[in-house]
Amino acid sequence: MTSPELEPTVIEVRGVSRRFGKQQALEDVSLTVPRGVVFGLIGENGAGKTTLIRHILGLFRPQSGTVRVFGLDPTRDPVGVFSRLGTLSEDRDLPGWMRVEELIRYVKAFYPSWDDAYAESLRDASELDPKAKIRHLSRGQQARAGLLAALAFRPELLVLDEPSSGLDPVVRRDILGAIIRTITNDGRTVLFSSHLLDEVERVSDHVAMIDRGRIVIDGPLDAVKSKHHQVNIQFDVPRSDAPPLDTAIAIQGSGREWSAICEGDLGAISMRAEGLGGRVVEARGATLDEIFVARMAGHRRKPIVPKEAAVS
Amino acid sequence: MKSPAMAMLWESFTRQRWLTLTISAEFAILFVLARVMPHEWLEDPSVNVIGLLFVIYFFLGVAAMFGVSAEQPRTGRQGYPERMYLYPISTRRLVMLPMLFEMAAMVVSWVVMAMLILRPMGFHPPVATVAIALAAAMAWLQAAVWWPFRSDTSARLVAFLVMLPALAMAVAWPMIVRAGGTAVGLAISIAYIIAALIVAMIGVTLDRCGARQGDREASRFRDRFESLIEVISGPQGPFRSASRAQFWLEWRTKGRGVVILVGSLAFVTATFLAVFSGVVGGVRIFLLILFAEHCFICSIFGVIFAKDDPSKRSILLSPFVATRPMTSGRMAGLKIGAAAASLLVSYAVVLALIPIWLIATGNLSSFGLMLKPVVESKGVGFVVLIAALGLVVVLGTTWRGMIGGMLPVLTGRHWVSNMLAFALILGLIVVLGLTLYMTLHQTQRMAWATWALAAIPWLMGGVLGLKLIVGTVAFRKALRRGLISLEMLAGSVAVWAVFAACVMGFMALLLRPIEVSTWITLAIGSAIVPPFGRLALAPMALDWNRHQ
Repeated sequence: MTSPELEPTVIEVRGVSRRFGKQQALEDVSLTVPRGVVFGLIGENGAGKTTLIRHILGLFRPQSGTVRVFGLDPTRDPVGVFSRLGTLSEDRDLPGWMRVEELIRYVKAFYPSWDDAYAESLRDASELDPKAKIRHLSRGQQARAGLLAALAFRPELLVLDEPSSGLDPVVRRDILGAIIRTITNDGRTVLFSSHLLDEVERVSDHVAMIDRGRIVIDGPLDAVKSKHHQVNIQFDVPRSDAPPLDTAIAIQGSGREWSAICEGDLGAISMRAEGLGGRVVEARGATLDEIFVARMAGHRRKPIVPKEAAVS
Repeated sequence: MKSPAMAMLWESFTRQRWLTLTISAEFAILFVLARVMPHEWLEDPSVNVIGLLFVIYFFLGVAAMFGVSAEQPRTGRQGYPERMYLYPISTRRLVMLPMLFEMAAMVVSWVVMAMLILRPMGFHPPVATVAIALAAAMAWLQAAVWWPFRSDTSARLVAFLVMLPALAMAVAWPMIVRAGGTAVGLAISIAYIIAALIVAMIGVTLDRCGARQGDREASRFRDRFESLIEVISGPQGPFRSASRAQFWLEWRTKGRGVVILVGSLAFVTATFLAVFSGVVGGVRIFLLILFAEHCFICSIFGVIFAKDDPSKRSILLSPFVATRPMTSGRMAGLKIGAAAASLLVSYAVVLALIPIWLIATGNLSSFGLMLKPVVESKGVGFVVLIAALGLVVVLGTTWRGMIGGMLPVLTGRHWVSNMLAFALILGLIVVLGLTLYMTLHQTQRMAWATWALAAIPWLMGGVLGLKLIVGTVAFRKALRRGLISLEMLAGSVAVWAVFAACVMGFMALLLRPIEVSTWITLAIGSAIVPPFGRLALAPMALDWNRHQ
């Protein structure tokens, strides 16, 4: 039998679908998280990030497809999975009545690998008063307490659902910089979801973008970025409509000047632009933010604020 | 909604749908009982006392339904709901509208209770004076709940000066009415209502202006109380196992609360029943009500063990608990264990209250006299044995009720618990209907009774068969899926067997001498009473909740 430590894949999601009533929350989602990476899951609010993470944690049972964590089904073997996995949910659902020391005492009982010295150093660094009640802590402090509970047994995999939600930039940087790096330096794996693209871009090795329940981008961050380009195209003759650039995910402009976010080889994009009577005057690698906005803007159905309301 | 008043009224009903249903059901039961219960029963003091408790619970339900209060998320203190301060309406209306609804609800409830239930039973209580007095009491209760107890001494002094005479007057009110007549009683009640409205207005105005300093204070008080408990319980070392840690969590979030609730209610009931301590059979009434109340409250509150946080509406297992490395079977077992522990500790509190009450009311000798003929005719050994077995049966049955209440909530699906609640209410209506039918058709009663007696063994056999099938299938599935271990299965079967033996022993002692044919029915009945299917289904239900 192969030792779990040698398995190259930590999470494997295959063809998972989930429907809540009439709403398709996940549709045929497949995802692989290799060992030892920081994996960022990005998407709009309501895109399905939390639903996917809940499937990975076994809190949701897939209606179709399979989820394996360390090669185990989290709904069939929660003990096998959770003894190696630390997690922090978006809701920070820590019991408010507990004191910080009680939280540590309670969580510690579940993990033989609990590292007291590490827990103490995390508590000290987070300036958490052991006598303080969780409900009296600030949101940032609660996130730190939750992370302490998730980290101090040195899990092989850390799953964070929107860890930065509602936190100020300093706490965000603390969490994402110090904690995630600490984990990866040990050769451990982190999966985290966020809609804050700058933080994902800063710390992730791999990214997956989820849109309306489907994975639309998945791969190493560098590869994703190198595949996408932001190009400015100039046409000799003004155009009344957007040029039909088939590699473009999103395109905007007017007259002779158009800019696009394109996917694919830059040479092929240039050739296609020339075929349409234009030329690429400027090109650079697209940022994750630009890729995300381009993907999402392509199918926004309605403006958030109705026109009449915006005018009034 | 056409107006804020309608919106607030709608909210009262919507927020408390189940409470509305419960007090409606209670009213329906009282309504039917008032018409079908033989009048000679009312001559028994215990029936009167139980009836009075029923009426009190009914009015407490009405008060809870219409009372406006919300927990402040940061501190857990009750008070005027902060979100309502954001409504674009004046403070006067924020105070007046709920107060008027509450008082109107009390008045209507009392009038309906007096006319439709108490009068057919042969009681003729004053309608107007009590209705207005109840409205005044409700107004004061609400004003007190809304008062934003400030931490500075002057504000405390004001609260003390206002509240103390109010409480004193509430106690003295019946005597004043007796001495001064109805007009005086009405005048005092109306004056009280006006005073309550003024106090509520001041309180809510202060609160809306941000004078809420008491939250921290209340919280600090609670923290100090908990610190005191920690000092008493001594230093807390690390848990020796995950099971102990999980049990501690269950105990701290639910078990302790049940003990405090049962203990407090038992104390209030004992104080209330001290009034009746002098009547014939007073001790018997006290014991009956105290034990019945304990069983009832524990059975009702067993349901909270199924939840992570009893103060929240959600019945889903929180990710914090669901992601602990522990099998669903073990988690469910610890919930059931914590329920049993709270039952035992609260029972110990109730038992401790009994000698205190007997001594305080001078009934210790009456209690001795009550036991004397039984001890003399049956012997000490028999009494001790039957008392011990009876204790196991009562506690076990209550525990069974607690698990039964937990099961639908453990699934984490509101539709399951709603469906079962609906089925229960339907069953209750059927039973009430049958009772009413049989009362109206006296001639058929004997035929019905004969048929029912003949059907009982078959019905019991069917129930036992169903119980064993459900339990066996559920245990098998739970074992296959690794939710429970063989040790847990053995433990569950042992609990069932021991409890069944105790029930059998208790019934045999109680009913002896028994005919041979009755033994079989008795054995089947004893096997039905202990939880078996429930113990098997609990891990499955929790697993269904954990992996939605």
